[in-house]
Amino acid sequence: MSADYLASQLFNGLASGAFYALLALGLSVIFGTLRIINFAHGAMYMLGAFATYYGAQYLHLNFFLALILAPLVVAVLGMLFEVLLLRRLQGLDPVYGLLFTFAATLVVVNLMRLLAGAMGSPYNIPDALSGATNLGFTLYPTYKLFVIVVSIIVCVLVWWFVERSLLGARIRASTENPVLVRALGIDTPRIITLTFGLGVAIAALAGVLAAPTTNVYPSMGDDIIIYTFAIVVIGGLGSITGSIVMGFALGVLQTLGAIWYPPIATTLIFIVMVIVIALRPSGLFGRPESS
Amino acid sequence: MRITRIISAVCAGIMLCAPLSAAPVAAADTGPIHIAVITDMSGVYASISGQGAVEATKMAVEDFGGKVLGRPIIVDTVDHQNSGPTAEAKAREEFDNGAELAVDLTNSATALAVAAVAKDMHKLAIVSGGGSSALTGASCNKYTYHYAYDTYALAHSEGTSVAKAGYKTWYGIVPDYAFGKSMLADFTDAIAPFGATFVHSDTMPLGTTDFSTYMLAAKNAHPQVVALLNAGADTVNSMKAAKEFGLDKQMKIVVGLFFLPQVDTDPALWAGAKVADSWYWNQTPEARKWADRYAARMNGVRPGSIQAADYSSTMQWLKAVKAVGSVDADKIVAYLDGRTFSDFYAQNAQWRARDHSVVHDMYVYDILPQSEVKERDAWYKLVDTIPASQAFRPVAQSNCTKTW
Amino acid sequence: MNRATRIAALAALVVLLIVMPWIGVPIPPLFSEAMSAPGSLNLLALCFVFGALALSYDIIFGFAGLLSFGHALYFAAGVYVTAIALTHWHCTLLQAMGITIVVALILPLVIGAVCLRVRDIQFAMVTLAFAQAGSILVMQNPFGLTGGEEGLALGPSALPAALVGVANTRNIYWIALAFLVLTCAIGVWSVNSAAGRVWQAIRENERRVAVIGLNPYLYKLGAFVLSSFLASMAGVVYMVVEGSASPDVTTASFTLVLLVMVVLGGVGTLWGAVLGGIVYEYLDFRLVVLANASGLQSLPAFLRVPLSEPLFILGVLFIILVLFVPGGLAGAVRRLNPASLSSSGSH
Repeated sequence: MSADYLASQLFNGLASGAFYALLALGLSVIFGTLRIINFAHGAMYMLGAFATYYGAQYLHLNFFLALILAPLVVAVLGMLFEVLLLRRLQGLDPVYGLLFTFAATLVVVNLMRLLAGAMGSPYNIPDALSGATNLGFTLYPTYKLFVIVVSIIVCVLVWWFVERSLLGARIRASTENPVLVRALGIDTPRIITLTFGLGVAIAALAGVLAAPTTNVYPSMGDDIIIYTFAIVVIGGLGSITGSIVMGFALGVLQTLGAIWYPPIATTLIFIVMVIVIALRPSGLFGRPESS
Repeated sequence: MRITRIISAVCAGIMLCAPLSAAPVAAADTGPIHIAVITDMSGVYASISGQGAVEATKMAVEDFGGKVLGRPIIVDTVDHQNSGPTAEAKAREEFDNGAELAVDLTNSATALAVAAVAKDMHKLAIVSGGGSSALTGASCNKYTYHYAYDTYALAHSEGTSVAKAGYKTWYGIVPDYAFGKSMLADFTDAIAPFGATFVHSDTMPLGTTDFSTYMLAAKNAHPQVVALLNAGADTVNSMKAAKEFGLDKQMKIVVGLFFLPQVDTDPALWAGAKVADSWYWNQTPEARKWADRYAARMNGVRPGSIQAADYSSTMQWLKAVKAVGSVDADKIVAYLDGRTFSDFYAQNAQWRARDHSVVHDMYVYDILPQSEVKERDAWYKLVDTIPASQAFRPVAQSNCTKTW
Repeated sequence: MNRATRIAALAALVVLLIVMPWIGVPIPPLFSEAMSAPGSLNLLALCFVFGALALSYDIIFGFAGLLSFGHALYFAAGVYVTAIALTHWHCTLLQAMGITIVVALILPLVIGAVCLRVRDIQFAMVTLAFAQAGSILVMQNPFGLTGGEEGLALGPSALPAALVGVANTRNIYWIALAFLVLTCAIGVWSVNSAAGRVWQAIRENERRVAVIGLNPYLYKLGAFVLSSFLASMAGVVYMVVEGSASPDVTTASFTLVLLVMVVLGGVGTLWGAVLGGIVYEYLDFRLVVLANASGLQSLPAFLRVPLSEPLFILGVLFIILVLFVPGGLAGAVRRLNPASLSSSGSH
């Protein structure tokens, strides 16, 4: 096995990690404010891809515009979902948020199946990003490099926004102590809705990026979301840093595992999860529970 | 004592109702004969079977005159939603309510489920959609025929055709479930006589969507052929990854299971791939004539091989019913076993008595680039015809335990 | 109703169900054949299995307050271990049951020990991950044992002769009925036992239980093992009723089906869960048939097509239940008022 080959595979790992990181990040942002595990995250990812596909089909929207518009559209849908339905679950055990969003996923995925068929629709890599780029040691598909770069930029921006900016401080405060924050004149429900929208937008962005690499099909979010859950647990529920770092790390680990022994590829993440839970139940980057 | 009162009331109820159980369900042999098209109407297989399969079956009934033995024929649409248990429950219901034949049965799990029901209830099932060789192997039975293709025939047609053209080193992309494994075994078998072998094959778990790792590994191994032995979305996603890494420019890409309607979704992706199938609508004037009639009923969409097989098998069955003068499955089986025929769909065909495989010639096609396609759905170019005797599993190798 | 009346009514119901195979009464729109016909008995037997399965789920979810998202795994373990023992290892039914019992105790003990290190949502996700791994394993058909996506069918000689063939459907029916009654008894006994009361205390406030010197972890593990064990036993009976194992029972959507059953009937009430399971399975089976009925076929496509998608219906049903069934979920998870507590435990 040559070094070039391994390096290329490393990039493959980063490219699949790019998707995990984005999805886990969105999940963490939502969990951080709503204390809800958004099972519908995979459906949002799928809707992002479909928005891209339909945009191209009916509005001749090019890929780069879709990269901005599709997440916005899906985020608006997501915020409606939060305001109209999810909000009613406030005060219930968080488990019901998980159940409710799971049911919503079934509805959305099956509606899309009826609308678009189960086989899926093709969306091709935009011309500007097709072909390969010379990395010095090997030729590597340009589109995959693009995915890695976009993902890293978005992750860093969101991390900075939530952990370092003033608005981020307000978001965190709204979760920790909503009464106090409201007393200070900050509109807590609106902050929660907007944060939910942000999380959904990140998932939809991952969907846009995925559209050219796979067929766009209704169940495309079903598998990836389960891995993302595992990654979030490994990173530490609610930890933004943990989600990003473990997203990329497990993408690479999964790829290396697949070269070594393909059948283990899909189970590797679960194995890591079990080990992490046994040793450190709060996750690698999570704060240990106070109890 | 309330308890005794309630129990005695219940017992009285039983006495009252008991005589009703004697009412027998009369078998209607003058009413309509139902043919159940059991298929996937809205899932992944809807385009290769679905509504088209129903329409093709209806065409056969109309062409036959709409009646047999003086009884009207009704085609029932049954959506199995790709679930074995659903298919089983609905098949039972159909056979209970006057169906004498179940056709199509796309997706192997549902085909095997319905085959078991057919065996149980002594009604006939003719499978055209499902491809598992188990239907004529370990799970064979008297009341089930396998009509269109199976994994053995696909692998042996395509493997033979490509290997004899001089491609010696193969690389397999194999999903980790029964279908993938049997495809790999069948392909390995098929190419061996020509000195060709799989230098390596990667078995990937279900749910793999990112095939980059495996395509890069395949490219790195420099084989002459990469065989995608998967199905459905996996085939699409692995083909996309193969093109992204430029495999199509360096080696031949062979697709194990493929149907014509799939090209439509992304013509650029499939151009240049090699596939095997049991029929193509533009391969003979007769086929074309039927396909045009079908297209007129289906908004101009040309039929795929499964839909043509549904027409052909329904027609064969109706002719048998007429010849025998009965819909009784045992009599029909006795009539069909060993019979040979050719029609617009099946060339040099035989209802093989030994394992109930319906064998016929198989074909290998190249998928044309859009620039060479002159009319709608004309994606295939016929490159090879594999005679029935070479395409299908020889009787001598059959692992069907014949119990009838 | 007082206690004696209720017991009498229940006894009468059981007697009625026991003698059902001799009653030829047809209930036309509800059952397509007379109640004594094999088709109806088979459907009832399936309903009983799912009633018991829903009850087993309610023990862990409704009473111990643990949302296991992987309950399908233990049911599937019962189905598959029995099927594998019968077909591949040529065991008798009793031997197969013995093997299944051992597996059904060890599997949840090991998995529960790991999963219960975390709580709430992490617990749900970790149990889901294990169930997913189980589902993948079954689909991969290791050593040719599970039959992959095609599942496993029992040969004619795999089961005792008294359980094979249409004529013996009534024997299968009685087995399913007996199993349901036994499960109900175990369920009622367990939630009213000392341990059962601790489960409910943990559900309300785990820390308080720890403060009084009990170890919540061990009690939760006990609930997890009992619930999973009953699910596996339901799997054994299901195997006998169906005669085949299909990978459908391993999936996360199957767990959701169980959840819908429990929520449908009422979380935290055993009889509610049983009823939910029975009603759901009945509807699931009959709606498949009704979906083909002429009435539905004549509906416009935008109504008919979604109505023929079972998962779509399931999702909508669940959303409606969560949002609109008054008090159902909220009350059930947080606390049970004294009235519903007594109704859940007294029969």
